[in-house]
Amino acid sequence: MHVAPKPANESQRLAALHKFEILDSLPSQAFDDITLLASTVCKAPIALISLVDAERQWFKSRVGLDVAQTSREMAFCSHAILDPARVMVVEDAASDARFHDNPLVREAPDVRFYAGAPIVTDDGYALGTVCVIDREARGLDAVQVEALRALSRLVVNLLEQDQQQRERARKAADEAMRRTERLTAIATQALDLKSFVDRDYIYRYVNQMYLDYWERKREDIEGKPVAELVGEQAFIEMVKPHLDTALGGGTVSYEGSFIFPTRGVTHAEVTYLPARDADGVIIGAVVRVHDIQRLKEREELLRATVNMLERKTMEQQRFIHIVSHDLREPINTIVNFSSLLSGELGEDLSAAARRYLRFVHGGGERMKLLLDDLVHLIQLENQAIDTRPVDLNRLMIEVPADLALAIARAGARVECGLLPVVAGDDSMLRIVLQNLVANGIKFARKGVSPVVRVDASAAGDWHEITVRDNGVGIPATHLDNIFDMFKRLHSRKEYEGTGLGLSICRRIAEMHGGRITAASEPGLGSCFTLYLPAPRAAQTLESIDA
Amino acid sequence: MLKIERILLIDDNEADNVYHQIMIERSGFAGEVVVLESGMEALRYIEQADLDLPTYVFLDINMPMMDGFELAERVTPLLRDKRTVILVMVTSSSSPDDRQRADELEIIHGFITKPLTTEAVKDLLADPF
Repeated sequence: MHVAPKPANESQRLAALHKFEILDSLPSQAFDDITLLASTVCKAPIALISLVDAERQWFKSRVGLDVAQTSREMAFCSHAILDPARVMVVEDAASDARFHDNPLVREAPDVRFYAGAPIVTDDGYALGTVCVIDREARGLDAVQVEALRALSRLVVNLLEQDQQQRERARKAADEAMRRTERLTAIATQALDLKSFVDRDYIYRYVNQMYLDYWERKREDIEGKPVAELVGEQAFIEMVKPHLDTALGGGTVSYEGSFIFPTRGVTHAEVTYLPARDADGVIIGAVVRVHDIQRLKEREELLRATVNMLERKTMEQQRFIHIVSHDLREPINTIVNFSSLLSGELGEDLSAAARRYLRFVHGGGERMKLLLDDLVHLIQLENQAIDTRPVDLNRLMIEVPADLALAIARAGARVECGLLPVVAGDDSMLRIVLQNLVANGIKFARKGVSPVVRVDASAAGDWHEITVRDNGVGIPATHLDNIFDMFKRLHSRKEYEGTGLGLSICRRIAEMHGGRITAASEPGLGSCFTLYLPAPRAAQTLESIDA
Repeated sequence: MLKIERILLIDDNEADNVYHQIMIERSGFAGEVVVLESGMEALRYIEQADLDLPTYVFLDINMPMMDGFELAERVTPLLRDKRTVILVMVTSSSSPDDRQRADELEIIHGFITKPLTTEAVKDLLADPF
């Protein structure tokens, strides 16, 4: 069996075929009429409209045959399309070298005679054939050959028409959709008052909203001059200039307020637009009034709230000033003179009196520290947090330097791994590190020199900065509430402190978008972890130990 | 090397003045100590004083009616060219605003936090500038 080669323009031919969206479509009367005609005119039992696809031939219409498609290899039509100009006639397939061992010849349907007229598009692509088949060897006369050709042209016509119809249907659908969108857009503006004024400044049309707002009847407005309805002066001064702009092709838009009969004062956005006819000539102006009263009221509320907040902030600032200055003076007096007393009159006083004086002095000193911490905490709330790159390594050079006295007194060692550069507030982060390191030094075990180590690692979106010590540790039940304000775990005899340090640390961590946690083994030591966000933009230096 | 012969304490707080006087006494200072309890009083004193006598002035910031900065501004014309009078601001707590104002006034030499200690006074007398 000779398999017909694929034509040179096969890929374009296939594209043309697929463009018609005909393959696997439902049977249609028009195409069935053609195969009927073909069968009748050529007096053949089998007539087909065959379309040659990549690997198969598919029949849009068939007379006398049950199969809907066959493989391309055995299709007679695959040969026919190689010569689009000619009707291929095979009078006796059994003795034709090309077809004698074709399954369609050797078995059912036992093809002996075949004639196929290629279906050729305007561009010259042969999509398939209109063909007739018989089980006896025979031929076609000239009239029949012409008829077959004509029928193939008819098929092309049908295909084109179907194609155009589909195009039109699609375009109509698009149009409809766009129109709906436009209408929806207009509908949402249906809440606007609209009026149409012609070139003679006469109201020609107003919408229902307009009538509702002004509480007028349509006949009181349409047909009447604008000047008559808004007043001569208002018309000349305010309305006419805008109408003229719109009539000249321009647009005017502004915010104003109206006094409506029942609604009262209403803020609105007013727009004057030119109205054009189908030829683009300006025939009048459209005036649109958009009610923004609700919006304005919310604006007012917002402004009032902002003002109140500003006032409150100023009051807070004053409070801080009072606290830090005016309270400090009397505290200083208590501390100063109680120490003078113990100094000067120390020997003259009884043991009891000296003891009482020590309490007075101690109380004053504590008040001073408490005041400092409190002011710190309050100021934190009011501070706008800086977000700049902060090199924690540099802070860990400065912090031990500031704590030099405490470190020396305690015989402590402060170590530090490689720390990252984070985004945040320099002075605030310094306070955290200072507090944590100072705590590590302060809460040492008896007889054990304090060692405080600061490390950092990165885990996903977070920097984890740990401050580890070998001190007395924290009982598990308190690991959370040590961050509460004024929370102290030891009596003042054992360890001094105001109890505010860790709550300040927690507040600073929160202000940076992070948090701080504590872990501990009582008797072995504690580890405080500061979590700070690690935005992708900030530089990170990986810890060497990690 | 300027030898200070007079100290002015300008502060409305009686307790602080008493305390500071004791501290000054203990530092071994032998000169005159003048206590002025208000801005007005200080202004009147300075206007009639002999300003060629080397003087250290401790000026409290927080005073009613006329605060320390205002007084400093008002005595600037009198003290501007006198290298014999040194003015320092004294405060219970300093804020960044206070420091900035002190920087802006040329006449102000420095800042001290209360209370004045004997050590601090000794150091200042030894090296006024």
